Amino acid sequence: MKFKSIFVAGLAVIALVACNASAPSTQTGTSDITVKDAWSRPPMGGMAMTAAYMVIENTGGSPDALVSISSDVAGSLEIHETKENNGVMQMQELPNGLEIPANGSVTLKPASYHIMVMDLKRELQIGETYKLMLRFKSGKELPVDVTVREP
Amino acid sequence: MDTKSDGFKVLLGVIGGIVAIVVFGLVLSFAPELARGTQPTPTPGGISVGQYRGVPNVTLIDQDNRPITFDNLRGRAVVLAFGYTHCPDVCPLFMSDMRKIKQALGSESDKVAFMLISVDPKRDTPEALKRYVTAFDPSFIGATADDATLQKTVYAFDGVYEIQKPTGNDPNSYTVAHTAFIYLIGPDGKWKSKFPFGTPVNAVVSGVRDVLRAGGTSNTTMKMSSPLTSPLQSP
Repeated sequence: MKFKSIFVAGLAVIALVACNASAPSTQTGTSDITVKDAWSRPPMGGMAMTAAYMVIENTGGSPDALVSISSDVAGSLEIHETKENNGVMQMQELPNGLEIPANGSVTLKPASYHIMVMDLKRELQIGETYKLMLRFKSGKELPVDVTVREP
Repeated sequence: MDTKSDGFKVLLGVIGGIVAIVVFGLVLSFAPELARGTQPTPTPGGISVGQYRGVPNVTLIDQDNRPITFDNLRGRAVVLAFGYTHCPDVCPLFMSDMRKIKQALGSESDKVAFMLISVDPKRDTPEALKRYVTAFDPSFIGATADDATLQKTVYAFDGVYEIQKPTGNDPNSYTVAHTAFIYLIGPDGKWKSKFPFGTPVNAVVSGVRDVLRAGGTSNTTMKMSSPLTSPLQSP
């Protein structure tokens, strides 16, 4: 029992140290961001808002963060996260942006990270696309075509 | 008990603590989705709430600006959710699920009422609710009430909601944290079960079929129920 505990703890410590030690070595160079599968549900029942979802990939060696978004079709855009706690759903703005890890990706999806697209200036129909301009901490700006579709 | 054995126990405790912290750290670093807990375990038939829980004796306002009570819906099963229209992420998901539940029930859906109760009465006027719920299905009911009535209603279903502070300058731009279960009430007016967010539609459909089948007999069995099973039963 005792030896087993020590053995498991030892293994876990080694794994954790190895994991942390390997992390900084990847954080060199610049971020290289691409976006795929960007989509929005059509706004329901005359609501002037929807949410945008996508996969943001960073193939660079440096982490980056999505810090702001703009669009011709919406007056207000925010990065939000939906969290669940004991069945209670809560949407919160991420004031410091959404970190995209080096050599990693973040998926924006329903009930998780999403872009709130508010104060829509026109209707969005199923099948059409609209543009978002994503701005990152590194200064990179990336235009994205978002397809309006059912999930 | 000698000190040597106590020392050993302390050592074991410390090791156990370290293991727990390390394992938790590993889980956090490798599986953030796990730690966030967004994937509920599907529960066949939903989480039972005791067969004889009452529903709150409250009067809400429906999408046509008329008073509506749970008594008005008796005779039909009720599939109920709490939400609000300025909720573009989660709420359309369970509203779409409701539509799928209705479609899966086919002709049996005549015996079922589908209702969204808005926990955002300030922005969700009956008109706004009508536009919203009927965009999913023309038969869907949207209802809301003043804050005191809403509190009573939500609490009766073991739920909570809380209007969050606006993050920007616009006082009308805020979110509402709320319990996101789908609740199932039987045709006898008793709350039967609740389904966590993300429960497969089929599980809710079979739950609805169960309460429809049991609908005719429950008034007899109700009298035999123990009051201990209904701690929040309405007066």
